[in-house]
Amino acid sequence: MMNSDANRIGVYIHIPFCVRKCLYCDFCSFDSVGYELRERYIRELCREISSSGAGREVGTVFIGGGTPSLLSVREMSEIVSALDRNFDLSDDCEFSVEVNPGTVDTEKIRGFLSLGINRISMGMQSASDRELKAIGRIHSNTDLLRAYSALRDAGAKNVNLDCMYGIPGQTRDSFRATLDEMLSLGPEHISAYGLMLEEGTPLYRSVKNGSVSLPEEDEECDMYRIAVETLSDAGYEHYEISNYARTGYICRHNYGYWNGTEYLGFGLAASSFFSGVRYKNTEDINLYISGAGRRLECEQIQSDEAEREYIMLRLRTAAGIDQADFAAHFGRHFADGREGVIAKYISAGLLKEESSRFFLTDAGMYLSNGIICDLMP
Amino acid sequence: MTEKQKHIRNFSIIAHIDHGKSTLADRILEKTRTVESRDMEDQLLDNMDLERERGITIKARAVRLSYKANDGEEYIFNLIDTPGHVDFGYEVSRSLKACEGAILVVDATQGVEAQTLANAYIAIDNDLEILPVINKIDLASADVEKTRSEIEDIIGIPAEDCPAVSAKSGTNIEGMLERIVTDIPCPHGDEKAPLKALIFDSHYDYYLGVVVYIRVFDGSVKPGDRIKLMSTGAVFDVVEVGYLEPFGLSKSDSLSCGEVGYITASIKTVGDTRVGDTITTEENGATEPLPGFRKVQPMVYAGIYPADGAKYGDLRDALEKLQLNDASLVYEPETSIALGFGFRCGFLGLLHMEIIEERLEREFNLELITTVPSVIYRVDLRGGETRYINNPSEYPSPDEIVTVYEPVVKASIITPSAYIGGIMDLCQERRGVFKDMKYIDTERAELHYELPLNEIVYDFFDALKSRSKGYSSLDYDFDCYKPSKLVKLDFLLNGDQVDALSFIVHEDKAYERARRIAEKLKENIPRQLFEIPIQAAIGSKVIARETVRAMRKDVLAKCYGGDITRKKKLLEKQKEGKKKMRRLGTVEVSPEAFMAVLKLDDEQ
Repeated sequence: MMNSDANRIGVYIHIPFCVRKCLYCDFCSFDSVGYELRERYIRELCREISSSGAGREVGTVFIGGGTPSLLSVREMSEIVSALDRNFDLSDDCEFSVEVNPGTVDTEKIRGFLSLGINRISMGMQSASDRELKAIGRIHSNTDLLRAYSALRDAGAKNVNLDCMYGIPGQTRDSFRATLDEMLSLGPEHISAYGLMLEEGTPLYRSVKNGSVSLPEEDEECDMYRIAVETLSDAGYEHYEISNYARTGYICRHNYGYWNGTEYLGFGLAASSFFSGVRYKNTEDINLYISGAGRRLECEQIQSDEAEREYIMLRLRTAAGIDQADFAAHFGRHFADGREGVIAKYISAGLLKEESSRFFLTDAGMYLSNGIICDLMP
Repeated sequence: MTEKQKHIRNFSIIAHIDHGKSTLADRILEKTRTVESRDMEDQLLDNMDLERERGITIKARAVRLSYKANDGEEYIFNLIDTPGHVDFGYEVSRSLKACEGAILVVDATQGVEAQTLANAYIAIDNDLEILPVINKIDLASADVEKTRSEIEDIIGIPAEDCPAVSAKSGTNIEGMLERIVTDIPCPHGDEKAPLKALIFDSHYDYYLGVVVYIRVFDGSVKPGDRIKLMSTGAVFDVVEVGYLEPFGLSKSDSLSCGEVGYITASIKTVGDTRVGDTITTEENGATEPLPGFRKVQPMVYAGIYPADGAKYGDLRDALEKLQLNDASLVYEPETSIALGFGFRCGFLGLLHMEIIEERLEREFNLELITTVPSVIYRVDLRGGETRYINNPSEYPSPDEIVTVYEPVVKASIITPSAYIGGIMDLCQERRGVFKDMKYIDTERAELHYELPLNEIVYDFFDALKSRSKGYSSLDYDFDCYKPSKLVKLDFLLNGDQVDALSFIVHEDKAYERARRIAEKLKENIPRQLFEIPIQAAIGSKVIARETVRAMRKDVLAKCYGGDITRKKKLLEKQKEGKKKMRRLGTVEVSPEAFMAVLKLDDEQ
């Protein structure tokens, strides 16, 4: 599966609209957007897709946001048609869309699935209404349960649930309760993220001015450990720092980001990586709609840069760095010149070498920044 | 005596800091019309930025002015500026040596202060005619009569008819200029005698080499003369001589007896031209130098390291350049396990050290780590050897030591009466021995203490200022070495000693200081992969400990297609930070943490 994706590309499509922005969110999205602007955005999005027939087979599509589930089935079908017209979507294409529990019902999901979408990623975040409120989510736990049933009723076979730890007011026990509820629902995939406090968000300001406090570092670390243990015990493979999947259900699209698969991004602020260059579209929605905001930033990934990215991205995954693959990319052994650092982290129990791979242990993943820094050229 | 001599007045202005010396100098320049007022830049004589900002004069400078007096004659004034700070006492004395008189500026709102006295005594010791000038009479709080009586009572010089001026508004400056002509003697000396010229300053010029500032006492000097520096015997050919005009050097044919000016002679380093040395001619020169020359010795030492180890070469070049203009700065390479390659630097005092640090940072754009300043300790060892030690890392082990001596100074502090209690407490805390106290008047007193110099270098100035709201003044002079109970305090991180943090301290202070620094280390060392014990120890005895807990979280939770560039930059930045880290055994410490720990701020 991973091999078959290697020669294909991924496609990402960004839908920058939300009912309301969450307090912690620094993604490019807008709330209270009128129908007319949305219409013009989708028109330009389809134009952008049409102008970019890459002639390569597409292995995965991911429609993210924002809240893509805000779109009507008709709007979604316009986007999917544009894709179908210009790209060769493989027969086993993984086609994900992100949905918010507050914006879906069985009918809409059925409509999405009929377009070829076959994976639904839903932001649950927490089973506690108090915690959901603390981070500004628009839905309650009841909404989530209702939405989850709707997905399954509509026939969704591959579902991801997102949850978060490190939420203001969250405790080890309340996080366990969230995990237990997720497990009782039985999604194919679970993403468990540590909350990242991003500058410029309302939550950042509240924490800085002291009106809101986050769980202590030790508490948050314990939650990570609880997630690893609980989900592994329940049969989910911890395959990336924040991602867990039942066998055969890892997110192929996201996995592509970590193993160097090329991808094209369409829409506001979307990024692409193609022929060794990283591109990014404008974050200015009016500029984007005018058609003049495509690929405004680009960065050629040179040799050292490529090696840094390779190490940074592969070490996020449980598979880690394959020595033969590394040698094929960079013409030398990964361990060359890194013997001391490798020995140090192996003896600290943070890094492992097994069947010609170097990978971080569960404990190592949560300390990965410093380790990656030491291993990067 | 020549006619020329009769029309020369060589004088300095001396004052306590902030009493208006530089403003008065500016006014003199303006009134003698040497500088048009439109060209006036405030405080022209202080030509280093740092001096202007701090309002203090760091290095002596001189300027030649011409003044048409009421008697119709044209006079040459050589105004020789002096540094106003206690660290530069020797330079002050050499600058004064070049003069026949001194204007003693006293602030009419403040009265006589510690450095007014100290400087006045140096002037008296050098047989100068002192012309007291009472300044700042434009201020509402000025008390001219009281200031007059303070000058007479405390310093003991007549002041009943001394000029009262306002340098700021220009009031009565002409009156003062006339008094310079009438009160300050003209230079004596024999034009036919062998050359004797005093070096009172020098600076390095990129094109000319060292420019030596001199006062000619006997004979004369002109381009082509072969001159000898009497302390070293070094011989040079004079290339150029001239006068020190307000806007730069102005060539002349010769400098003769009584005159002040400069010479250049292709001299490579200012170290060759020691302040206080005598210049004569190589052939038929003077046999005896002018009295009073000594090589200044540093009193305070500290290790200076680049925060970024790769900047070692830049630091070396910068120190070399600073030394071109400051022969009192000494340095030699030093290696620290903790801080890498750097320099052990010797300074005249704490202010001198601060100035050098600031200039290195500002003018050479270097980020520095400076170790705790140390004085020079005398250590008598078993077996009869005596060692002088300015670096804690060279401190012998306690069982080798018979007696340790530390330098003690005589300190004089003048303070408003309200702060006497607080200052006495401070001196007590700093192991001072009270000598006596005199009331200058009903509001102010002068206290005399014997204080260990190592207590003064440890943030004494700041403490004094904060305890007297800035109204106290300090002057001190080295007195002697006294036996003392000193110990070397070491710090260990994860069991490894950090050499750069060691310092020598009095036994009674060791515990408190150890505890504070251990706490600061805990606050400033980032969490690492393992727990880090911090220990403070005297020899093998641990007297304080703290622990930095292990880091558990250092992760980017999300990294998808749109994040890669930004997350990569974050990690690259983190890697840059890690590169700057100093590795101490197994522990990594950032330069910033060192700076925070080494900052002396007991008063906060």
